[in-house]
Amino acid sequence: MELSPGLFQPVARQGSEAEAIVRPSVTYGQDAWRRLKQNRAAMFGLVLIIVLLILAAVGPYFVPYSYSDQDLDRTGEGPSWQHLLGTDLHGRDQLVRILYGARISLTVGIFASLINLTIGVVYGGISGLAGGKVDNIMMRIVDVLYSIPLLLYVILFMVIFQPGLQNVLLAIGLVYWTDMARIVRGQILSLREQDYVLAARTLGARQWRILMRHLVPNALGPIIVTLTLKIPEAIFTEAWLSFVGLGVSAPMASWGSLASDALSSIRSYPHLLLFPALAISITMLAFNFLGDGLRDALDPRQRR
Amino acid sequence: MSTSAQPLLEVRHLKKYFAMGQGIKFRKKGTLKAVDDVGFTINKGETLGLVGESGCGKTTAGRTIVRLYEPTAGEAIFEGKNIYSQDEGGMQEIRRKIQMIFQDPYSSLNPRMTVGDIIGEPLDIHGLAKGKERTERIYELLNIVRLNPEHANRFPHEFSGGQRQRIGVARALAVQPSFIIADEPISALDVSIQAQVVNMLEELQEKMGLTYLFIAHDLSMVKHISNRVAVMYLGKIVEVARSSELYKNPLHPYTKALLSAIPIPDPDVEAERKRIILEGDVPSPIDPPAGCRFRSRCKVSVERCKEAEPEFLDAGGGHMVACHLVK
Ligand SMILES: Nc1ncnc2c1ncn2[C@@H]1O[C@H](COP(=O)(O)OP(=O)(O)OP(=O)(O)O)[C@@H](O)[C@H]1O
Ligand SMILES: [Mg+2]
Repeated sequence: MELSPGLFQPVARQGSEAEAIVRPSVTYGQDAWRRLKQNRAAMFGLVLIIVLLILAAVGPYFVPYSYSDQDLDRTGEGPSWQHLLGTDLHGRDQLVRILYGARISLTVGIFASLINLTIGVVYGGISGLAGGKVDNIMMRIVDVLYSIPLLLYVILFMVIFQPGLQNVLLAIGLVYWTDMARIVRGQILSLREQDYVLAARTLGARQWRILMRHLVPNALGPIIVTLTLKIPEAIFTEAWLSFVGLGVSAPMASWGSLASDALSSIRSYPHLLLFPALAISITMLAFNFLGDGLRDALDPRQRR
Repeated sequence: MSTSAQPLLEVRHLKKYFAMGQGIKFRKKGTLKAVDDVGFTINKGETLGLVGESGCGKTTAGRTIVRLYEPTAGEAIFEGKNIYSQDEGGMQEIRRKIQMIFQDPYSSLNPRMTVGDIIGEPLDIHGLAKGKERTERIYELLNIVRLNPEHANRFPHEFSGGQRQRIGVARALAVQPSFIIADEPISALDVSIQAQVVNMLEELQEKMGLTYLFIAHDLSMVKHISNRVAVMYLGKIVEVARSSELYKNPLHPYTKALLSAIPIPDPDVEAERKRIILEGDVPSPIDPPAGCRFRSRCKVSVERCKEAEPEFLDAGGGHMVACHLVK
């Protein structure tokens, strides 16, 4: 075939077509949601959590007993149509007490984790952003805190202050933020050299703006995953504290204190321990399933 | 293009050393001399091309000028004021006038922000426009870089490389700067789009009276856009000349080698042409060769190149070169 310069003519460009956006508009959130939906265990966990939240919020109104009503003819009974989960030694309806327990567990789980989140993000963010000496010192402090089991600090806190819902929540919230701080700091360290951060710096953005507008939003995946896994940890810690008598105090009943009360009569009334224990296990499982699913869905390394 | 030879930026004896080996325990001795005594002047309205192989310190030089890195030594006089002696307020003023365009259009835009917010951020930081005015200004900027206003609500990942690079340009223009440092703005783009972006930059320069420091790693990229070209090797500038002069009459052996690596789009000339092939790797900037830094790869080096570092001298008509062999 003969080649001549005349054969090579530039193709006319269609101005408007060249600017058309080819890729569909899928945000990061939509993309993650699509992947989360494909994960059965995570969706199972999510549905369970939603059911639990609804039950905790409105469940007690559908049970015709209050959590202190006593039915003295039916103490320590097993499940029946009148009392779906049976009654305790004082003839109180077990179901309604577990539903109230769910309120306490979920409140502690969610709010303590939110305190963890706030402290962790600010502490880890400052540490990662400052870098150098400041970072070194701040992380050594975390290492020192971490070298003793964190539960000990919580116990110490509860011994010094009064037991009670508010203090349990504060104790867990103020102690368990170290993981979050480490994760946020690691993310920030790797993100802060990104060009868009440098661009913001050349524009004169202040540190706080860089942290909140550029760094934290891009570290959101790992932060959400950590948060989701902090919730069951807090729920379990609360249950444990209540179980040993350092948690919520007498008139209130959390899953931990229900289980603790049941322990003395475990031989004659095993169902009293079974149901609170089941509630704790199912809740923890649900949050862990969701957390693992979120990790897979939000992890950018898996993005295609 | 530039008739008035008024200097906008004068960089003098700029040095940026990085300490090697970080952490408290293992502080190994050693400094990486990324930029080592660099000086140049950029006049108002002109484009200075800064060229050199990968790792020679071009990015570091650009970033040190805008104070993303604090300089080890030296000064940069911008509009009569030394950038490095400014306090926070003065620096904020200067940041409005000097902007950067980055090499990688994929990492230079925050993936979690909409294009509108990316372009609007400079307006927010400097309090230049709010509410409706802000939106209008964003549309105007999108228009200037030939994108549609509808694009403001999209996220960066929906755009192609060339489009993203133009979003980066719009962000830089938002503060109405007078000087733009473009760090290899086209090397990451498709060849077919490179010309488009360069042409746009040239048009903007004419319309807005911009001054550019245009960084590239090969001479063919800056040939078209630069008035003058500075060639950098291992942290130092070895030659500066008007671009036509540099291409016709390169004096430094390194510049000659770089020029000979550019293919000529004419098979006959290309076949005839002798190429100077650079042998060996670029030496480490941690302990560069004594004397002339280029001597380890120079075909014509003599004894004197080992002993003394060549001075950076005028070889006539503002053609500056640092080589013992140039008289
Ligand atoms: N933040 C830093 N810390 C330590 N060393 C650095 C840092 N930034 C750059 N360097 C080193 O400084 C030298 C110059 O790097 P620089 O990025 O300025 O080169 P460049 O000319 O822009 O190269 P390229 O063409 O690859 O972009 C390199 O040896 C690099 O490893
Ligand atoms: Mg570079």
